[in-house]
Order: sequence, then structure tokens, then C-alpha cells
Amino acid sequence: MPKNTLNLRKLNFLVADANPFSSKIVHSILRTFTAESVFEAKSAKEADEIMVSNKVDALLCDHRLPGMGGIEFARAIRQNPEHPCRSIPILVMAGETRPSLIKAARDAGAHLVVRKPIAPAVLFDRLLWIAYRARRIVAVNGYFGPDRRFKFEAPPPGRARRKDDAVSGQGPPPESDPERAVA
Amino acid sequence: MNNAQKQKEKAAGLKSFACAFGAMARAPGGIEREHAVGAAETTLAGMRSSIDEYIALEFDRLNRVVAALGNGCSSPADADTLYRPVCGLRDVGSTAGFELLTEIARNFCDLLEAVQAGAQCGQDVVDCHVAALHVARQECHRGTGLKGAEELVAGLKTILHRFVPPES
Repeated sequence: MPKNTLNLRKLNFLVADANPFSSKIVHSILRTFTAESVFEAKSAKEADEIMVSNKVDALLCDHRLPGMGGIEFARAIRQNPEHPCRSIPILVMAGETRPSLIKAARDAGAHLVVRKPIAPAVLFDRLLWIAYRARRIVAVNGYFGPDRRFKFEAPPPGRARRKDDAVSGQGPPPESDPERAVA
Repeated sequence: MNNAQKQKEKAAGLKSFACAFGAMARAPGGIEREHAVGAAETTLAGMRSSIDEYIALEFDRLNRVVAALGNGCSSPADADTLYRPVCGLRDVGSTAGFELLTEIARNFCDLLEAVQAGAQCGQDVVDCHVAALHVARQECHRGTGLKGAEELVAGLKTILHRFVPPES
């Protein structure tokens, strides 16, 4: 199985973003990645209702999600032992990727922070990362979420470490470097 | 993981839980990165006219908000009102090829978040950001990244850092 391939057909995504146009763009990208089921929600409350009444395999939520914000929403899901989506990958979409925001998202139990506007290549690389460098979901000392201890060993084969490296010229841009932006 | 690590984790009370996403996403029959990304970019290119319409709507909204505020952005409520259209521009600008628009809107959003947190921001600061957004929206800046506008971006960053110190 090549490590640059994703099979999203049977996975259900939820995009939670108050901006319907931004949500539509992410929805379209995921559908083009062959995801057959993409739910949309405009608030934390609506997203939670969808997750409780449907099978959701991954959540992309906006940092400024109405209700409680994406990071607090991630924390609420992770800290609820009864939540049906407690262990799913959570990606926080944010307009900026300040270190303090990334740290807060990590400590809330989010898998990743993705910078908006979402670019197809960046989103695909993030999903590849989650699929092929899967981190254990752990519970320890009040924390629940992906194991925060991990090592960034190298970019995927054939991919450059940085945008300006010469391997292929198509590597993920610096802001998509998991070392910087992964929770 | 070796036995010593397992014992250490056990002693720390660490428990592991299952997540099905990885196994399902790695299943045979998936789509290759190159194909997926290319197809998604084609899809977004097909949405170009509706994205342009959305940008026009957000500019209309921004102009109305700025006119209504009149005297700068001095309260968190003012910042909330301005934030929505600016955030909308930031979130779709580069998708339509306007990277400069996204960059300026990002700077403006950071500034407005500072005001939401209690900072005071005068009319001149709002005006220069709004003027920069209008410049960035010009067709000549589509698909050119930040080329030719580096000084503009740096200048707006300097203004932002008066309100929000950069994080290391």
C-alpha cells in the first residue's frame, strides 16, 4: 500500500464552521478526495447533535466555532467518556497558527491545526499524516486524546522537507509541517 | 515499545483507546495524492466565479460596517462586527488566487482579536487595513502571491505588533 493513498469512501466527515462558504469549500475538497459522506454544522451545538445521531469518523472544526470555539469543543468531546466520537481525529481549522494556539489545541486533544484557507494539498497531507503515522489515543492525568509524544522523523518519501527543497518542489509548505502544526 | 516503556506507562496510569480512522483510510482502493489534489484544485477552479461573488459580498458588508462604525474600532463589540467580513475574506482569498488579500485579512483579523481582548484601535489603523484589502482585491494581484507587496505586508505587520507582540 503506497503511503500517498487514502481511501475515504467509507469515512464520514463533519465540517463545523459558521461560515457556510468556507464550509462549502472544505466539503467540496473532501468530496473530491472521494469522501462520500460530509456533514456540515454551523455551531458546536449543531455539530454535537450530528455526532450523537450519526456515525462520524473525523471532525474538522473552526477555531472560532460559535458556541464554545473549536478548541473547547474538542476538549468537551475528549473529556466526555460517553461521547460516541471521543476517539476520532479532530482537526482545528484556524486563521492563524500561533504557537500558543497550537499548544492549546494539542492540550485539548486535537490531532492537528490546519491553517485557513484550507488548501487541497495541505488537507490531503494532514489526512495522510493521521492515517499513516497514527498516534495512540491515550488517557493519562486528565488528558484524553492522541499521544502528544511523537517524533517527526522525515517527510514522506519523495517529498521535500521544505517548500524550497529540491526533491519534488511539491512538498507541503512550511505551515503544513507537522512538526510545527501537529498537536 | 519495549517492556520498560510499557511498565512506565502502566505505572503512570496511561490507557490506550482504539481509533478506526487510520485502518479505514489505509484500506486498498484509495486515491493517490497527486490525483486527489489535482482533482480538488480543478473543483475549486470551477467554483471560482462563486468565490468571486462571495468576496464581492464580503467587501460590501465590510464597507457598510466601516461606514457605520465611523470613528475607529474602539470596543470589542466594534471588533466583532468588523471581524466577520474580514474573516470571510481571509478564509477564501487565497482559494481564489488572492494570497495578498488573505495575508492582509489575516493581519486585520489578528488586530481585531486584540481589540476583542481589550486593545484600542484608531480609525487610521482600520482605514489603512481596509484600503490595503481593496488594493489586494485588484485583478492584477490574482495568482501573484505576495510579489510586489512585501513592504505593504511588512508595514501592516509592524502596525499589528504594536497591539500584539509576535510569539516566538
